[in-house]
Amino acid sequence: MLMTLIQKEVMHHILSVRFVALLLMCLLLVPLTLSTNYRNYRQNLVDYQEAVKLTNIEETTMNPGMPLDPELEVSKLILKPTPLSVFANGLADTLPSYLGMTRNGITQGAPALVSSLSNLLGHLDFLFIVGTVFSLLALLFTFDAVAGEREAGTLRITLANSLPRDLFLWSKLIGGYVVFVVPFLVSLLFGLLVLVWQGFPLGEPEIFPRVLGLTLISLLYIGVFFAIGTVISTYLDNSKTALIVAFTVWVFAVLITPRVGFLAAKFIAPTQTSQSVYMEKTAMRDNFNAALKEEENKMIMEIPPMRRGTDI
Amino acid sequence: MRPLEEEYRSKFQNYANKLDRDYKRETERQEQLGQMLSRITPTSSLIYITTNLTQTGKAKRSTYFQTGDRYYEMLYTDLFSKIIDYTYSRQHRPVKITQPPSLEITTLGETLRQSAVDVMLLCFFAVVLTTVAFLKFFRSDI
Repeated sequence: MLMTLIQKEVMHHILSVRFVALLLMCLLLVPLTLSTNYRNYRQNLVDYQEAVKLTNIEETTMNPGMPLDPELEVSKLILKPTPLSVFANGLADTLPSYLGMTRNGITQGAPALVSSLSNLLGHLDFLFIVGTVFSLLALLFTFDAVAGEREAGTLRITLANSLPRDLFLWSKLIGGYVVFVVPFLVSLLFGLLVLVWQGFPLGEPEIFPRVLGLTLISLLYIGVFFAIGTVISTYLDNSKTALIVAFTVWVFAVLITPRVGFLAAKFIAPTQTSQSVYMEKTAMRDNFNAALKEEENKMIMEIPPMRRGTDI
Repeated sequence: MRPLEEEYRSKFQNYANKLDRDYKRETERQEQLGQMLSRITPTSSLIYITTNLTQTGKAKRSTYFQTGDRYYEMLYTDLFSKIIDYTYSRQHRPVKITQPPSLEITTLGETLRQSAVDVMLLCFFAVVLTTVAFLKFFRSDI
């Protein structure tokens, strides 16, 4: 009986407009973003290789007997881009492009983010598609699972037969999830094929398990939003109200709450900026050097003029 | 003059280390608090797991900065500690600058260990929400 109900649910979703929307999103967004991000990665890799070459050409020896400007970058640790940034850019663009080694401490090179205006609008990657787009689509697939049937009166008719309630709800969940997940997996597979065709090292033992893990976590996350949509649908009798509530929950869960957490932390536990710490250290070094020079001058003055030439 | 310079250098180094330690402790505390608060939504857990798996998240950043600190210590021992600012006799013995070490790659096992909390949270959300949906549906008046 469960299979029959699942089949009915699958057919119901396939014939709906939202399935067409899902199909278009999957087939367009996933392969396109993966392909575009791989091109960006290759460009970043070329930039990294050029930077490493330049650093190696520069002088690699230094005379410690000579005075050294405290702010001079003696050497650099350059950040190498990771191939998996194709799936999620994460902090890659916000990290300093290099760490410069000076006597005063470590200076930070400009992050890649500042060089591109397009970053103002946010980054489009697999993580964004799953986290934002597919979570919304998952709610759109489930907001009327129970509320819609209850409103149309079909729930009463269906449950008037000897059909257990749990079977009915399982069929709603499984049927919707299968219809949702199959186009997602197909588009991901297609995207991976495009990546491999472009030269992405998917078969490497360090990369393939991570991509597999990424897929499993995405499926679990979509499952969570299916559960959220079903909860909303079971609590409300009207599908329009359920849709509004689902949208509100999505806005809070995806757009607001992740940012609010860090804003709240800034108020609860405020900190200094790294630049202010660096400036404090520079000022302290200058003070120490001035005091040292003063002490040295005092010592020189204390030595009798005849002995100065031999003692120093 | 050398012992005096050494004394001032060590004073400065102690002060600089204290500043760095305090700053690191404060920022880490703030970040951990923000991360913990943001975990009330499944989207944050997804972001943390995904960026850990793709090596573009917090773990990568801390590895990068730790490698930077390690490299700085190496350079300090080899070069910075030997530089003499105020002396009338200059020694001309060039020191070869140590090449930067390569960034350590986090293994998959380590990544999973770091993401265990977020995976558990996602599973928890899925199980609890499904249970709530079923319980409500069983009790609702058709």
